[in-house]
Amino acid sequence: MRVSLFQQVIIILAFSAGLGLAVNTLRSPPLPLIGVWSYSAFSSKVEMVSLEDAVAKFIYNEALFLDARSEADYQLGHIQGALHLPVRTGDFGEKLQEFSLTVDHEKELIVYCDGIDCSLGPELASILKGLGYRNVSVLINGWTEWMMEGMPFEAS
Amino acid sequence: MDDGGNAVRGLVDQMRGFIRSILGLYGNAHASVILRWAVGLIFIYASTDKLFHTPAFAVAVYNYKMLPGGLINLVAITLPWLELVCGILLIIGLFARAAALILSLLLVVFFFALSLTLYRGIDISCGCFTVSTTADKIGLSYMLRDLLVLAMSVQILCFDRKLLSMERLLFMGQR
Repeated sequence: MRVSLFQQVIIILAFSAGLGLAVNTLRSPPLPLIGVWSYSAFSSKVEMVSLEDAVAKFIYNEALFLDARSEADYQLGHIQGALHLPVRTGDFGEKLQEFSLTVDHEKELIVYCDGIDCSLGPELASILKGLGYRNVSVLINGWTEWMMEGMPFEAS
Repeated sequence: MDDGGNAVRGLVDQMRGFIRSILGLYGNAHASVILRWAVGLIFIYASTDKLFHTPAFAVAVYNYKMLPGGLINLVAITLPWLELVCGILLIIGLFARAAALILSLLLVVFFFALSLTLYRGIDISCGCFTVSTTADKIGLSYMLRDLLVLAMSVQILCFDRKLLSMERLLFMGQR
């Protein structure tokens, strides 16, 4: 049986795509096939959370806080229990990999950085949305607001 | 004057001979075997980090800011497998020309993606061999490397004669 070049191309494409999709379904949690990615950090797809709601979720342990700032800022002080996912730094890929394998897509996540114009938090929220995390919101000017409220923090 | 003209003519002839020998080597079926292995290994190596770090690779694709958002995950899920499968097929010599055609098209797409990223001044790492964001930022050397592998891949597409290939073993009796 002769298989034309065009048929061979189709076979390779179909086989590779099938393999990729099959392996993805075995991932825990799998990456959604159609991600909700947004190229604008402050897009309408990124939701904001008020300080009052963030404090309530912290007290009742309903949300996981994520710090998007630099390593140095995180070391100096961060919201108590917050994980560090520093966008635009060297080990972001590794940390994101570990995070994606351990945190469920349904988990409520609150992302923060520092400063009203800081785009790191919205950028991280945008990435997490794209990777399938459904309940992601941003606490704008999070670190300053948290400190002004006198809420618990810790330093590494 | 005649001596000078002869010297120039001699130099031109030498250049022609050199280009002919290079083209002769480029069109050599034995060279295809070596290039199949080389390109195969390159793409198997390129796929491994992406296969094990799919979310990070999705972010690398996202950083190029070229694809519609809805396609990013699909590309991150399937592209590394396509690279791996094509790499393996090149090495074992099964559907090698088809694999070379796919990789050539991918390399053309990568070239335009790299060019556009440089033109737009987006400071990101390539995501070609590793998904790490500490890797070197995209520069002209990445485009030259892409063109070099493209030339190798096109050679396989045009001149592979199935030497040392599984395809020849499998379909030997069907001629």
